[in-house]
Amino acid sequence: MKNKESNFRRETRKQARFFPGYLLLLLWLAFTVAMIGWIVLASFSTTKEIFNNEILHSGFHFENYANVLSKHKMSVYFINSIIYSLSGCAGIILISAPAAYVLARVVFKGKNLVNNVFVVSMSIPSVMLILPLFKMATSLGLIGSRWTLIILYICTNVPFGVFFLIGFFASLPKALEEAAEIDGCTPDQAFWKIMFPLAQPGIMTLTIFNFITIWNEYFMALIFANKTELRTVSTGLQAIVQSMKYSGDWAGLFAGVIIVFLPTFLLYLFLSKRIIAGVTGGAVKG
Amino acid sequence: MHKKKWFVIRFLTPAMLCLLVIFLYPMVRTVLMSFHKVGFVTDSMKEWKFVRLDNYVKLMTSPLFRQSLVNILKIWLIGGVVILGLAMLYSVIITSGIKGKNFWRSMLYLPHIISSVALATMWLQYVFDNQYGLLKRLFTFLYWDAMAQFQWTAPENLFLSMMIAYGYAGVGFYMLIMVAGIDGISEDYYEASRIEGAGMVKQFFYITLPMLKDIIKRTIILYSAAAAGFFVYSTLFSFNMENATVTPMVYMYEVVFGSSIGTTAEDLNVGAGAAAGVLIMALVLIVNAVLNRLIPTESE
Amino acid sequence: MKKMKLFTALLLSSAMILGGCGGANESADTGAQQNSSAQEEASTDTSAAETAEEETADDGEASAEEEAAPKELSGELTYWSMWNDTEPQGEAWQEIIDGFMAKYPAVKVNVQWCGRDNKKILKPALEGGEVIDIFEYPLEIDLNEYILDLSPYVDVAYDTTGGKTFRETLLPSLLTTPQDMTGRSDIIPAIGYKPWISVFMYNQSIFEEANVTAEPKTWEELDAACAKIKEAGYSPITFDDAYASWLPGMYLARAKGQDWVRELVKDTTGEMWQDEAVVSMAKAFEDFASKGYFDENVGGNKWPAGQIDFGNSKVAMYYNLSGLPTEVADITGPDFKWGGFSYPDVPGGLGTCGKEDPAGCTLLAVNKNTADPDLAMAFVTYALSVENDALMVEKAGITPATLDTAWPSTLVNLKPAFESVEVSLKSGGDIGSNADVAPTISENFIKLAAGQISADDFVANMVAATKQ
Repeated sequence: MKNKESNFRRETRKQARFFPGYLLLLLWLAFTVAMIGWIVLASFSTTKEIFNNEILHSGFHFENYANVLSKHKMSVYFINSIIYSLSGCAGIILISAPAAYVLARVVFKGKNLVNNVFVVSMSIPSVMLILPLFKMATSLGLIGSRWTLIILYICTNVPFGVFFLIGFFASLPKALEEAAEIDGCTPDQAFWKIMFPLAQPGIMTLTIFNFITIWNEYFMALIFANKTELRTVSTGLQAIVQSMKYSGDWAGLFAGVIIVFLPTFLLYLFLSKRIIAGVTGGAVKG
Repeated sequence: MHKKKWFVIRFLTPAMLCLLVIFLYPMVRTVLMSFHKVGFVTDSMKEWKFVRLDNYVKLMTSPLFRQSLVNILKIWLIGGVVILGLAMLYSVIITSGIKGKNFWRSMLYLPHIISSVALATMWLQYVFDNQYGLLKRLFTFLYWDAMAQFQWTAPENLFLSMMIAYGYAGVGFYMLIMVAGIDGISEDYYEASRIEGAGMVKQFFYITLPMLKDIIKRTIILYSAAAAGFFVYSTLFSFNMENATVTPMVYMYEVVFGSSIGTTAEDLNVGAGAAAGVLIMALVLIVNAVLNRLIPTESE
Repeated sequence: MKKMKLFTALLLSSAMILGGCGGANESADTGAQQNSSAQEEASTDTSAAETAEEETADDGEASAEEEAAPKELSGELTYWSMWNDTEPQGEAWQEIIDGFMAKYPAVKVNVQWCGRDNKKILKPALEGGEVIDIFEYPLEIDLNEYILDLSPYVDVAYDTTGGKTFRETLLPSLLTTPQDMTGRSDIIPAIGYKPWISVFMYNQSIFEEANVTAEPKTWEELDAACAKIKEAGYSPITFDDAYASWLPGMYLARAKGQDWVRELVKDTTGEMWQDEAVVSMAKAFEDFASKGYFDENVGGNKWPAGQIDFGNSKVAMYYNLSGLPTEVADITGPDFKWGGFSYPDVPGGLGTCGKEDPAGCTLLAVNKNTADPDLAMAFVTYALSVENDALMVEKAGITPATLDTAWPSTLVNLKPAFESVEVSLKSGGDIGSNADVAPTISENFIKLAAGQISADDFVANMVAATKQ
């Protein structure tokens, strides 16, 4: 009993040393809660109330949300973003995993050169590529189709994918391939049936990282997805914000912001550990 | 042996195609484009007119483009020091042994996964608003009149406001990386230093910082790349291009796809946009080279 | 490990679903894509080797076809709108589109609500071969290559013109203004609607309360009016960052004319900014700022913060386009009493108040590459028929396009200003025509109006910024 108490006291004293740290964290938390909390409340008010500092004065106005959802194609934006992100992630893995495997485990002439080219291309900013890519998409008649963004998201992220996965494949034991060869597997089979599944942790980290990158991408989406049916959540929200400003509907504007914020937030509540692991892994390694 | 070659080719080709088609070819074409007068993005090479360095000269004599270079430098240097410094501070706090480490870490990282458009709108339309805004109300509540009347969105303050919003979103991301780095440092070092009587500050400068060299370099590279592509916050904080927020990428976007530059057809020149792109890339490469010089990587 | 497997399964299955999705999408899109690439080829061919002869030949063909064409309309039209579907104008257009499709069941009209982003996305889309039959021509960009000459189509009677030709139903300026605005006097590049004018919009109730009886015609009268309004407890004037340069721009246009303003902003020596007109302009606004005529928040206003203050009856005047009442309709409510007066004459100026004002209209253009120009024009004339014009006026509070439509109550007080304009200027006296300098002018003017810098600072800053 006594021991426990002194433990507790020691713990308290220890925690007291961290007071400035707690203060800084609490400030951040208070700010975040105040900002998002107010916006949630404002999204249920009327525009006049927002400007007159009397939020929720006339009760909850759910019609702000009804307005946004009925007038704007929010669901289309979400479906588009999901399509871009999922197919982008899948495509990146399908293209970069085999390349990474070869670069990690097979000795061949020119390997270093290929390796370096991938590394260098990672640091090329998208502004350098966008003009010719636009021309290419135009010539191929791909403007106005979802394929443009899907292809671009895949290809621009392949170098990083390759670079990232090389490390994972390199760490797998050599004995596995030998065993597979003895079992009569072709190199292809050995890769898809044995090595690929074993690289799952790496692939998952990469996928989470890519998913967030693609989901929040704005520049290319702005240029290549310029109409309602193709817009992503980001560019779609931007269109909503603009139109709400033109019609002076502030409550609707905040409702739109919350509609975009909420699903991401909920997902994050449940998956924060996984997401953080993925992002950290991707960022530290790259 | 032949089989192996075939296997390598088969596995490498899709990725190599990506490189050639999406990276190499466009890069070469953009560089070429920057030396030509090009009327429209979709013009074929035959319609280009060779103008030597004219596009670069034009950019350098444009007050707006020069301002965009100044801004990007400020974003990179001042913004970088403050944002990475804050990230470091918070990562030290989080790994210091406080309770609820995972909760705090998730909270700090939250802004980074929210769509930038949503976040920037929250800041601009609520926090910085000069009538019902969070800051205005807070300072009014505190009877701090000077701050309550501070015009966050006035031209002279807009850059600061934009960077605060940008920092709020970014700190969490760099904090994650640093926390991972600090977690990787063996507890033994801290234990030993504690026995010798070193305080938290000393521990930070003599253990944490030197051990994090690679990680810090990594965050600087990531931040530099993000700064080079600084675009979303500029376009969201300014209705038209503004001196306070313009960056080379915004300028380039406006030249090529926008309407602000070249209101008359004769000025409209996509080549200048390409030149801006080339300059941005040159900046990125220089920064990377300098970093590699200054902080040589030990591992790898 | 189990979780990993689950994850892989999820990934794979989602990939498969996507494959399915993508496939379906592709097959649905192919038609449109083929169509668009064919169009694109056609467009590059013609644009590359376009000659005037060919153009007229095209038109001749079109009008010949038209005579032979049966009255039954069918086909598909795509309209890229500069409105958002949530704006009153957009809602009115939606109603018109629905009405058109109900009237001609074999016609399908697709609409793309671009909002004001249309100036950013129209050109890339047209260049990309997107099928766009009708669009609002944004003046900021040059789409000359894509416009169809409408001359053969305006002197024809349509289903909806009640026996008259289309030309006879329209306000005459709506056919000539598009020519001025696009610089194409050789053809009719577009049909105008929603004519606009740029004036000092004001709140009549505040004017009455402050006992301002006459609309100011000179700078001194404006000064006096502001003093009374200030006395009555209101902010006299506000503006937003997006339109900040219009106030100094119009001052200079009144003092020296629009052409001089154009020269001024192109000046690279910095000398023109030391001109007396600039100095007296800066002094005039410095004076207004020191008297507290500008709203306290003017330094930090981000569009549309200022116009909302105006709509909330906090501020009396806002220099803007006549489309403003619609934009702030939700805030003002229906009882707001609107007024508008031309930018006043300035001391030693040209005396062009009430004669020269920024004015224009929204341009409805037809794509040269449209598959069926007659169908497109049938739609345009339907949209601008008397009853649909009245619908737009009523729903969206815009200015009427046809001669027979009554003016909305919000704008009826602006009618005199509309009718007196002899010369149409560009917005703000075209002070924004040099995009490299425009942000600097706005920035320094905002500071001047907010009282942060003096008139001398303004001039010095502009000289420093423009000198090369």
